[in-house]
Amino acid sequence: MKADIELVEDLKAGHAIAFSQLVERHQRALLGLCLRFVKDRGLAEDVVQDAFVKAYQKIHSFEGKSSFKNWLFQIAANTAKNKLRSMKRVSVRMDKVEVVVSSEVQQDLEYKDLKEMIQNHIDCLPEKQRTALVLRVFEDLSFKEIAKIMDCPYDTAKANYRHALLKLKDKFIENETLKNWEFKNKEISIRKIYTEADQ
Amino acid sequence: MSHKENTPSLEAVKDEEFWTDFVEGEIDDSLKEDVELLLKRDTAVATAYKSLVEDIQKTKDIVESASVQDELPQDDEYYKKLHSQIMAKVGQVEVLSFEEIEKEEHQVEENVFRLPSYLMMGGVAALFVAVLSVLLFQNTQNGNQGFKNVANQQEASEKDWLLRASADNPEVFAESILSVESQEDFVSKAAEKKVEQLSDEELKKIIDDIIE
Repeated sequence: MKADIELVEDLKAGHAIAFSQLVERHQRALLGLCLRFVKDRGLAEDVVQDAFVKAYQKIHSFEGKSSFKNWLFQIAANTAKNKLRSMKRVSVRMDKVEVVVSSEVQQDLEYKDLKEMIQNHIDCLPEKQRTALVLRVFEDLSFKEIAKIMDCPYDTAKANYRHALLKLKDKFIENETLKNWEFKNKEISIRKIYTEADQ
Repeated sequence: MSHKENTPSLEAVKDEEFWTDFVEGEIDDSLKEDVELLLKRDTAVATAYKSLVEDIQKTKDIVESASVQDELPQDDEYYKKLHSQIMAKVGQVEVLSFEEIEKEEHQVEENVFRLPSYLMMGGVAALFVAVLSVLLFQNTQNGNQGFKNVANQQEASEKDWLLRASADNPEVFAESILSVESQEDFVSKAAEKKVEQLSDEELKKIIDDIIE
């Protein structure tokens, strides 16, 4: 199996088919990243498509200083940012939706509600802080990689992440539900904690 | 750096920045060991920092728990379709040459540099329009006032003339003028005005004339 950089070289040499493999390899990760920024799957798909089109058109500007995946992430993050600016997101709080549900479904809804609440706190962060947080926590990137994607100095990337995390810490402490959230180990999800509480 | 020099002071570790770096593994190993030793000390201060570290770690875990992984489609068919859609879009465009990319980026930079000058030009234009509007408004106000003054003067002199003419020959004058007022009203008003200005002798003469 060819490495990304080899496929990029093939594409630069005029073998357009190489791009198909790059898409296949990275579309899932890119969709996950875009979904985190735009929240809507349909919109995230649009961003993914646009990001790949831009990457294809500008493949000659990729110099291999970072990985192809990080370069793609950089394009996608900028595309998502521009898309969001032109969109007005409408969110519906779960507690405003009146539905009659079984306890199992209720649990699921509460889990989603809690998750949405966490997500709302993340969404309220300034754009650069949110980007740094997403790339660090969800994509597990180093600050060096984050700095490249965000096109900023290493210390700035780290400061953005730190500010985001400390702001969330203060928000979560203020929140009763999250304050009482008991963390046992990294594998335990909020869903499981709800199940334990019911027992 | 010696081990002793690496040992963080209490002032240094009060900083949240330090503890975020600690949680993120952004401090060097020897320093990390020292901090861990410090945390193991069973003092009130160490407990406070332990709590801060736990809060930071817990925040990170809560954020992680809001992962979108379970919202991502899992079936291969979905990704095959997405792949086809991407490739269809890619098929509509061409790979840009290095020169074309540079030209495009140069264009973007130019636009970015132009933006402040556009804004400045827009600002100057807006200021010009504002000043012009104020001047026009003042001019209109002055014009209106001037026009009103002229109209008032004209009205006053016309009234005098009308009163004089109507008093001299009220019936003839009333017939020759267009008025919203009825002929009788006009004549009576004119007469009334004139009467106020007449001497007793003049008034008696007019009454005598009318009786005759």
